[in-house]
Amino acid sequence: MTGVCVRRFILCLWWAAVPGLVGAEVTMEARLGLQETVRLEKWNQVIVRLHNNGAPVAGTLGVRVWRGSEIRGDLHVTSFTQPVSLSHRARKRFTFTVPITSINRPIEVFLRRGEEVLQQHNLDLRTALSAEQVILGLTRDLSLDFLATLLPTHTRIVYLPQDELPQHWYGYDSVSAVVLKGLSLQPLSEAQARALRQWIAGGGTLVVASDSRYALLTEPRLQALLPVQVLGVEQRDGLPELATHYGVPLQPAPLIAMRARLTQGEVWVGSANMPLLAQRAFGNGRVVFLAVDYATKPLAGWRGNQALWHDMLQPAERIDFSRVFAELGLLDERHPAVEILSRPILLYPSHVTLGALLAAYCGALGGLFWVIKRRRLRHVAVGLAVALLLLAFTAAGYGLLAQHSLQHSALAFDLTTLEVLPDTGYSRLRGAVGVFSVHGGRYTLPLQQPETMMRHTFTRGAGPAGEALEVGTAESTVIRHIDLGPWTLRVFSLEAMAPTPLRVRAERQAGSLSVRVDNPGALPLHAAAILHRGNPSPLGTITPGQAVSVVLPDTPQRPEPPSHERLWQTVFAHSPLSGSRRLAYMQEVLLRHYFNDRRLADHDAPFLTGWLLTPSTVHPDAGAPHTWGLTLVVSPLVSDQGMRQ
Amino acid sequence: MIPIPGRKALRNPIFRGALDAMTQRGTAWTHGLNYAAVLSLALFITWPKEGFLSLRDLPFTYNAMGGTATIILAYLNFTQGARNLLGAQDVTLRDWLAFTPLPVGVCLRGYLAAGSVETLFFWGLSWPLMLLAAGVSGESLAHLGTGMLVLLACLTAYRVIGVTLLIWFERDDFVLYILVRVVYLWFILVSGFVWPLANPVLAFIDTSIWPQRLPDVSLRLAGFEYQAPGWAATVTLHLILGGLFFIIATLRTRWLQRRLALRDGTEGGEGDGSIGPP
Repeated sequence: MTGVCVRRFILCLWWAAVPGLVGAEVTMEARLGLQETVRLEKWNQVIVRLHNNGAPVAGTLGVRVWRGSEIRGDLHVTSFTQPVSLSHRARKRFTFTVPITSINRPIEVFLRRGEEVLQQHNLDLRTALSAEQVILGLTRDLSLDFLATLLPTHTRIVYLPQDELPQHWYGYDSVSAVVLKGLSLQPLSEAQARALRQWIAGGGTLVVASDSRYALLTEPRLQALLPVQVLGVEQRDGLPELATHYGVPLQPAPLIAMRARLTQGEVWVGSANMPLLAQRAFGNGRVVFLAVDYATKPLAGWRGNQALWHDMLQPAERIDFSRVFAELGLLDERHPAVEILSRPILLYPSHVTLGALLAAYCGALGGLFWVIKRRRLRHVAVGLAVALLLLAFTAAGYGLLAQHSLQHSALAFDLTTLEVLPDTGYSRLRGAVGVFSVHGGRYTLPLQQPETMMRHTFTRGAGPAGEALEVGTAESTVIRHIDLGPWTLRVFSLEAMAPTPLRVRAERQAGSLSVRVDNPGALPLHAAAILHRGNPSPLGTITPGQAVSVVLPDTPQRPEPPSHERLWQTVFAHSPLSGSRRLAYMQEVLLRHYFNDRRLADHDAPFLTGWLLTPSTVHPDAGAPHTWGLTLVVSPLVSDQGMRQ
Repeated sequence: MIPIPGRKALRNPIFRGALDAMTQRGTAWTHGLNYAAVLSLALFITWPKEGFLSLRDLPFTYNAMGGTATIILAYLNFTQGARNLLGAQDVTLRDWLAFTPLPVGVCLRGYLAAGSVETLFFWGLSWPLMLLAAGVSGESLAHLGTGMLVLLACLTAYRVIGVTLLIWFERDDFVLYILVRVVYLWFILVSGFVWPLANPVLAFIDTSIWPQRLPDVSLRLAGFEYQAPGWAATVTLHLILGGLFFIIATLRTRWLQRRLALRDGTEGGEGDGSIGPP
């Protein structure tokens, strides 16, 4: 025993002393995360397993993907990296989520130490299973396979063990819906549970179906999501309500159904005290509750299943055309970071000011020269007078250029929309970020939110731009190796989820709407206003820790709802920000984009807007270029019952 | 005693005389005012419309101003260099240099120093306007400083070339007139096509954020290879050229003094320091 310890100790000393002499023996295995299934134009998981049989290794593990199009001329390669440290005989699993836009080029997985590549593995996407829709089943059996043929779109059903569920919300990007039956959410890690909640809040769909073990549905993690409170089980003979609702006969058969009571949301089939099919909104997403087991009689093989699952999954409505168009580059010219450059955001002196300065310069020179000629001054005096005059005008010229932004090597524009997802505790941030290089160079963009997804990037401008980017995803997200020539812009569309900085509550009373806004965050919300039926109600600045309550008269609904154009102009007019003209331009661009992208489904519903005078996507204090940032905060008004007013 | 820089130069009688003449004659002041007005006009015309950060084109103002200043100042330095600064219309510089009791080196250095003061004066007039142009074109102060140094080096060389041509061809006005303009055109225009490294405008632009206009120059010395930017090669070339022409001017002046001394049977070189027409 002692001999073994001594040998190990000597071996450790040997490795520690001469790490370069001992070759690393690392084996690598990589596969696509969702059972080899790929959804193009989405972010897909890649799971990498490393096994080290040699000396300890500290290096960088990365996944390299190609994005963009050769035809559009924006082909670029992005490497997603994280640091790895492997001790002797270590086995580790790493998960990456990467965008896949085409199957023509393989995904390269590499492990490198410094510049030396220790292992490389290519994932050939041509052999992967492609699908238009991916449904993730969290079930104990393969009972969802029938959906692959039931749904009109090319659908693949994927079953994952719970320990392989994504750790980040964007790990679900390629998933259309998650169906949960007969499994508990309690064994999930906190990160996995948060990722699932954030994904649903951001627009995902969770279908929770019952089986005989009702206790699973009463567990806290699931109970917090469900639209119902599960009370127990009951024996039933057939489901005539479903047959009536969908107009398809259903064979009467004895079955077990959940006994539940609606707590929030709406009942589709059944009643509030006995819901069979109910749903609730969770942020922008939905949680659907089915009180019976879809895999047993009488639902198994029922002809009405297609309509039932269409209702539950709502697949067609989940296509985000603005996102698809953006990824195809069709909206590049309308990108906020490009649009802001079409406004006069630099504060140059006007021609009038310049003319006055030039006239003063020439006038002063003329006067001085006249005096010199007349008075026959000494050489030294002449030299001094001319030098002083030139110095004075040089200093005046420098001072006149009040804005010295272009003296920075690069400028970053951060136009972020922070959309509060009601009743979820989360908000979604959509950052339009532009890095404008004045002198050219290599830049790094540290981001504030640790789980930020890069949707789209492209370049514009007079100079060349590097084609290789690196996205570090260790503890925080950092975009590195942004190589830009002088006078070149690289634009990023970024998306993140974060804890919400505001709590907004509304209550409709007789003839009025009572609203309470709490700001538990650390930043003041400037120029806050509530817009209800096209009428603005300014709230002013809400400082950190402050709560503002306001009662608004419930004005009658207009015969025609205001247009998006009208809405953003109203908000713009009633939320003036004191400061430079540039802030107003940024406000205008943010508002125009938010409202014209029709993100507010019901524009006649009341909502709150406000402004954070800081960037919310880029981290300016962590080595980012000089940043100009503004954040638009939008929150729909939600009642205590969880319904939008 | 605190050393005063340039005190020795101030004692140089040729330098003092040339400065006196320059100050009293007033041509430099008029030229200076005109130059400032033309440069101001160029700045006003090329000033960007409001504060747009146009992505399609690189900023134009700074390089337009640099080009204008280089073209005007190169012409001024060639022509003013090829003109007698010492004031008297009926006495040529050749006569001054031939009959002055001062040593050749003192004479020539004093005369060139006075010319350099004029060059510095025009160069200094550009600073406030160039700074404004750099500010709106995104050029850093380092770029501005480098560009202005390139300008100064080239202008000094042109001043020396102008003075040398004056010493050689002062008696033949027509040849001098043509030669000065041919040399000017060669440097400003022709060199841009046949030998870009000799072109001061391209060298100035090469120091800015615009894409490189001049190729990098690699030098192999003592087994080491050095890479120098194009503008540095232009500066070096102009400094070498200025030095060469200074030597030529010195040799010519020496030859003139010796020839006249032989003819008159007198030895020039040592004197009491007083100057005046012979």
